[in-house]
Amino acid sequence: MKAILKMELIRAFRNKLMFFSLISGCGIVIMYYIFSVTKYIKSFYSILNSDIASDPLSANLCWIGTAYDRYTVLYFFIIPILAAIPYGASLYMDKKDGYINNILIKTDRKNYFFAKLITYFISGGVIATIPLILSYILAIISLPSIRPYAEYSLYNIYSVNIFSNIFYSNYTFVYIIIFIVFDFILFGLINCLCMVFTYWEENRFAIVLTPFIICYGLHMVGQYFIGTDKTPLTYARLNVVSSEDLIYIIGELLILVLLAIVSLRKGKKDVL
Amino acid sequence: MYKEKIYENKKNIIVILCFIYVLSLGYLRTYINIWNNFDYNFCKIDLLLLILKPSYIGTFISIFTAYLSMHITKYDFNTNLILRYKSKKYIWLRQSVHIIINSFIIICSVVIFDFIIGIIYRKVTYNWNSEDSLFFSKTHGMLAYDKQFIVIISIIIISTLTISIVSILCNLIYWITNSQIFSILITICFCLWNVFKPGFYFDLFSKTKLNEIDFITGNKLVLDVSILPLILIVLIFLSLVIIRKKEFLNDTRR
Repeated sequence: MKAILKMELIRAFRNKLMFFSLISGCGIVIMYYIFSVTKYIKSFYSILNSDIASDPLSANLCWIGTAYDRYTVLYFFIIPILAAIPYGASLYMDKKDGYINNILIKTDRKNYFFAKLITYFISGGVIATIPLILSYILAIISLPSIRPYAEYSLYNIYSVNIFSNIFYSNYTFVYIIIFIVFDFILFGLINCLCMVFTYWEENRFAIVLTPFIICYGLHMVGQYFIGTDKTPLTYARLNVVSSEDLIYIIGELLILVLLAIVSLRKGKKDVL
Repeated sequence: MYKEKIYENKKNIIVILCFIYVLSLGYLRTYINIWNNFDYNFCKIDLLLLILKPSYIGTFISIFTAYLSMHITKYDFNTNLILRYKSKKYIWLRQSVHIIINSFIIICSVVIFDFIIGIIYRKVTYNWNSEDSLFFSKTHGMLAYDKQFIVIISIIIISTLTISIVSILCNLIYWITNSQIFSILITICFCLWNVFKPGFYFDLFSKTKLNEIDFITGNKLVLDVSILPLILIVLIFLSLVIIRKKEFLNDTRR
């Protein structure tokens, strides 16, 4: 199990497409830094130089996670595709070119599919979170990481949002860690949809695009019927999640976990 | 040949069309609620005119049509098919025609769907000639008589051409990069960027959008109907130069 998992992780991470996905995600973050964070920095120094007392800008406000900007929207919209590009069609390609037959002679079917599922999860999560970490690092090296106070009304995190008490405390970095871990789990599970749809689709590009099509479709449906706060592309920004929506989010995550388990079972029973 | 392609992709076409209809229903419902709140008396033609809004055509119709076009052309680079056709030019033109037909069918189905929504909400087909209409309020007191056919035809033509341009651009990127994933990724970024940052230089959707007043002045209507086919034709024939050096590599990992 360990050996096959290691091999699959190497296949996922030592990959030109993984490099492309990370560069694209980080590219959006850098564009966001150049065109948006620099404005925050200018504003911060102009406040310091003026005599008017004002609320200080903080790094916690202007990283891509908690800020609301067109780059933020673009980043969270295309991350399901970027996450699926390097490894999304891996199982399909293994089946198509017969690689799976060679592997299954040497190892247990259960181990192989389980290793695949874990690799789908980890690769999706890593691609989604590395640009977020980069954005936070860029923010904290540019602006002071001042303790946020709800009275400033600067932050779009309110008392109804989950973990707001952690954010408005001395442990804001814990909130950032929770944010990043949540995105890791969310996009990891979304990436597992590629494995689910390998048994349904017969085209590489369709398999890779399925997570995006589902997330985007849900987002648009949510926009008109149930509210966007309950769709993955919106609640990937944890700061918009309110306590009332938590039950929907847990439900959706459970469905994703269930689908991943179903794909695992289907993989084990699949006739090659 | 097109029929065969439709048949082999019927599962995907049904799913994508269902997505488009559900989203259309949501979009129309939002506008209908707003108009009802303000007591505007709208008609079916007002609902159809919403198709040209960037937030309607740009956010989902274009993206899903481009996705379907990629599905329809997915087997065109198979070795057997490549050997069957005489030239790259023929393959490209055939694909372009299929994309245009595909776009036309999708737009016609969306128009019919919007019309059905109008029937469900018990709205009259045309009320632009009445003083208590939404058209009268939006144009600050103007009336238009017997424009329904012009409106429907221009909506179908302009939206078909707009989404055909997007889908053909997507297909061109596929020919250049040899990867359907990158082509659809670039198309999605292009569409979303256009919608979230209006005023972008290549903002196709805002530039082709028609308002009620444009059917009275007629300038933008004539410009759209004459410029868009030209752009499409230039795009298709200029692409012939770009695709000239295309190599069909039998890459099994793609």
